[in-house]
Amino acid sequence: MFKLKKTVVVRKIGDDYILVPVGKSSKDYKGVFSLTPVAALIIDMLNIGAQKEELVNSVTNEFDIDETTALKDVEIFLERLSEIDLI
Amino acid sequence: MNFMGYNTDRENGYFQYLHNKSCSSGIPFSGTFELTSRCNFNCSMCYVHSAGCSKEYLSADDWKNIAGKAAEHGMLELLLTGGEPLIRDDFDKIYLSLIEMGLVISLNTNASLLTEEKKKLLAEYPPARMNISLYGADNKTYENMCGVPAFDTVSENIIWLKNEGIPVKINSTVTSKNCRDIEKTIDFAKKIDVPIKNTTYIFPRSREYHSDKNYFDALLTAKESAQCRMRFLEYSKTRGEFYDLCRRMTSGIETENVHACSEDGLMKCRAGKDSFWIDFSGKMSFCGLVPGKFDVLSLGFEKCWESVKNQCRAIRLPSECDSCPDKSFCGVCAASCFCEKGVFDKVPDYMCEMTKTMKKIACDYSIMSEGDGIV
Repeated sequence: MFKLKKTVVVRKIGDDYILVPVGKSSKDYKGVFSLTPVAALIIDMLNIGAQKEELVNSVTNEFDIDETTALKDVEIFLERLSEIDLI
Repeated sequence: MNFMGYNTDRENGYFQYLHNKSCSSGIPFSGTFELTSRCNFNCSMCYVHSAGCSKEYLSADDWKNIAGKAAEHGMLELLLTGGEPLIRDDFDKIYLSLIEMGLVISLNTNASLLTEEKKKLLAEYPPARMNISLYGADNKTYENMCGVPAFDTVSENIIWLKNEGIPVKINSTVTSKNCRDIEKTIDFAKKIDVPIKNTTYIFPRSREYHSDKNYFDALLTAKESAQCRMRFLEYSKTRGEFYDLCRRMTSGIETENVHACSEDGLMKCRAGKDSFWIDFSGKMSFCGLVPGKFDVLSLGFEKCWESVKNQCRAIRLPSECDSCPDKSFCGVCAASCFCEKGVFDKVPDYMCEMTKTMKKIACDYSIMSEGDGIV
C-alpha cells in the first residue's frame, strides 16, 4: 500500500493540481510541485492509499495508454515520490 | 516522463502561468489579509496605522474561516500584512492555522518584533518570503521616521532571517524624513545580498483621513520624489543598466516598471482579476490603497469576490494616459487616480509630474551616456 505523507496537501487551482508543503515541511520544500494530469490522478489515489496495481488500472482506464507503459510510468512516479520523501 | 515539476521562483515561470490562468478565469489566486491596523511604529506616511487603536476587529478564527473559504475558491498565495502583523497576541495561532491549509504564505513586517519565540516559530514553519520594510540606515533616521530607534534591532533580525534561509526582500519607502539614507539602505541590502525595492510615491490616504501635520511634513514634492527614485535606480543598478533604463524611458520602450493602464483604459494589474485585499475590519477591496466596500463576514467570501471583480471591470483609467508617451514607465494605476483625485478616470497630477520629471532626468543621463561612449 502506497500512501501520500501528510507533509503535503493537494490543491486544485482551476484545472491545475499542485502539491503544497504544509506545517514544518515548508522548511524542507521551498516551493510547490506541479502535477501532470496522470500524476494528479495517482496523487489523488495516494491521498487515500492505493496498491500499485490499482494505480495502473486507474491510469489505463482514464488515459489512452497501454498497461505496460502505465506500469512503467507508475513505477517511475512512485520512485520519484519516495526519493523526495512524499510517500 | 516528467510527472512533476518543482517550482520555487514566485516571480516567474509556473507561478506566472498560474496567475495568468487565474486572471483569465477569475480565480482569487492571490489574497492579502491585513491582520491588524495596530503597529509599534508610528510612521507619518502610513495609510493603515491608527495610533492608539487597541482593538482587533477580526478574531483568529474569523481569519482562519475566511482563508478556508478563499482556498476553496482557489487562493494559493497569501500575504499577511498590517499594521504590523506580529503585534497581534494571537499571531502564532493565526499563522499556524494558515500554514496547514496548503497556502504559499508571505509576511510583511517591520522586523522589529522578532522575539525568540517568533524566531522559533518562523524557523520551524518558514514562510515563502518575508518582506521587510526598511525605513533608514541608522537609529536616528528610524526615530525620525517611525518614532522608534529600531534600526539596530531590525538589521540584526534581517540578517538572522537571511542566515536562517528564509527568503527576504527589503521594501524601502522614501519620504522627506529618510531620503538622505537612500544610498546607505542600498549598501546595507547589497552587503547582506538581499533584494531591495523602493518607492518614493506616497499614495495620499484614501481610507482614513488625518489632519496630521507629520503626514504633510513627510511628503516629498513630485520633483523630489522623482529625483529620489532616480537616485535609487542609479545607485542600485550598474552604470550600463542605469543608462540603458534611461534610454528606454526616453524612447518609450517598456521598462521593468509595472504600469497599469491598458489601451482601452482598463486596469492592467492583477487586482480584481486574480487578487484581492481584506482590510483589518474584514472589508474586501481589489487593492489595499482603496477603501474596501464588501464585508466578508456578513456577505461571505464568494459574494465579495464577485463584487470586487465586477467593480474592477467597470473601472476606466484616464483616457489621457492611454496616449501618453511616458506610459511605458509611469506608475499610474487605479489606486493612484483614486487616492489623488477621488475617482478612477482623472489624471493623478502628482504622479504625472513625478513621471515627467523622471523623464527629464533620464534624458539628461542619456545625453551624458552618449558623451561617455556608453551606447
